[in-house]
Amino acid sequence: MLASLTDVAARVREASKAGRLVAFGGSGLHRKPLRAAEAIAEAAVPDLRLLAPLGGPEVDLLVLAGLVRRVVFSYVGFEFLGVAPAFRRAREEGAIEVEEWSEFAILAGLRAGVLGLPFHPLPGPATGDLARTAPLAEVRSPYAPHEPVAVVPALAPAVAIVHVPFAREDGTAFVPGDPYADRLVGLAADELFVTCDELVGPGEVPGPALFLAAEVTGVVPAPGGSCFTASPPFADLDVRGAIDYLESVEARLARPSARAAPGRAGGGRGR
Amino acid sequence: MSRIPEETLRVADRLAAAMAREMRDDRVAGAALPLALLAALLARALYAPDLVVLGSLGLPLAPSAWWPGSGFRLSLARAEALALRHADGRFALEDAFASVFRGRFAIWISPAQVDATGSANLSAIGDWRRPKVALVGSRGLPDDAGHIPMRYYLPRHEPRHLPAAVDFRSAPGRTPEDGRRGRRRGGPEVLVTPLGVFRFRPEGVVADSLFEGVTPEEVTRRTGFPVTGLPEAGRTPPPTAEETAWIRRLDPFGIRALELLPPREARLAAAAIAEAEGEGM
Repeated sequence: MLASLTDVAARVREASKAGRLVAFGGSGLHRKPLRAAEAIAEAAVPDLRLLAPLGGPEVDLLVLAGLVRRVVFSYVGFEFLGVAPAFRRAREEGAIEVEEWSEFAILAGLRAGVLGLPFHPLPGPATGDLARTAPLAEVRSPYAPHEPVAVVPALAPAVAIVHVPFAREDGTAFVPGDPYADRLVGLAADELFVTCDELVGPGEVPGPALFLAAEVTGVVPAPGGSCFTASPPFADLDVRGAIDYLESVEARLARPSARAAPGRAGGGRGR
Repeated sequence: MSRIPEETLRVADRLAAAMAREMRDDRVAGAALPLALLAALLARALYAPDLVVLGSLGLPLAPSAWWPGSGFRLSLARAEALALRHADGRFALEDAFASVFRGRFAIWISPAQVDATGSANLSAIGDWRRPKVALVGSRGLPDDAGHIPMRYYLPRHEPRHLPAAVDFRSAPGRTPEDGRRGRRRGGPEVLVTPLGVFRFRPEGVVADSLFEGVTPEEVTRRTGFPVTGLPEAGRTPPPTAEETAWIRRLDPFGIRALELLPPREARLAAAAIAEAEGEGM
């Protein structure tokens, strides 16, 4: 069940060719599979369609590399450090296609993906301008036909990539901290790859499992694979590293000619 | 914390205290940014003893987080690690939405724009399809808006943040369609800014109280829509000694002030705080 970042990039290339989504776990500056995103950037996989329930630097560095065609998102940002600079610029220049869903709409779509359903209802009517920016639809409840129910289509990524602190070689993945939406992201996808800070032996249970062996396609040992984002208990958020990333991207965006170069998250602290 | 001006910390303190005082009846509180988390932590300490505060959206904090010597505090580098040390469990993001849809969830949101109807924008300035400024995204605002009272805070009170109408409605305010499409709960409730506390009423935005030194004229000048009730508005009480003591204990590094600083200064301050946090361990 061990896999390499090269394998991951190859599967992502297949997804791209088929026009399918690729999804990332984590949230903002927490537990982002940045090493995997860098590998995809280095492999220069074009026409990416990314699903970012709570996106951050992984989306930004792939957009910076000029490899992204479409982003389905509800948030892409750097938490208290603000907006993701390359993603922002690409939206402002119309260089990428975007679908903006709400946070729960994405969870609902993923839930439909997990269950193999065509769509999923949302609690309550669709509110605000999201109806213009996400493929919301309305059905009538078969049990109370006067009641309109907002629905979203299923989200079933071809590949999901989640970074976890611990995993066994068989695929079992452990996250002692906040699981965010990772289980839905992982289970909705055809294939789930986890990158892990530490490979543990069969006798170890380093906290509650997030994924069972049978749910995981491949485990990639990647110590420090969250780069500057946090991955407790191994890595605190490297605030300086995140700021360095932002400043290097902003400097690059200020030079009009040098846009599409492989992004690097950098800041990988050896541990 | 030499990089954060005292005045900025003082404004952050009064925002946090005013926000916490609104939370007396809350059940579950989450936050996306540090100032909002501080308000919830402060509320739990002083006004809502049974409030469940999510230190990270999947990590509800145990009472021990508030005990003397717990070591729990706002953190940039170790936010999740500290929450984890005092977590009552770990929950998927979906579970936070269970609280939202049951109307039990409270969250202070800091949008880029809030307008006279109480609509809020966290997506784009200008045309959404080709924004002048692309923002982080609407995130949970559209989900929250139909189910819980919406509470907003702005680190700056300026007309461009408070226009007559927002450029994009991440969360809708009061509209003529209200009631027709069966919105169950929710709607805009309150706005806290460095000038004061404002309430969204069917008739418009009403000043509830103004902070020390703020005049009705200043509010009118710095708001892009009419605010009523200014002559009758009271004075927002400044943070009490007890509130101030809790704020300093919960945020010894001044993280609460980051949102009030201009982006470049905020980055410098964040880097300095992260360094100081590292040394303090």
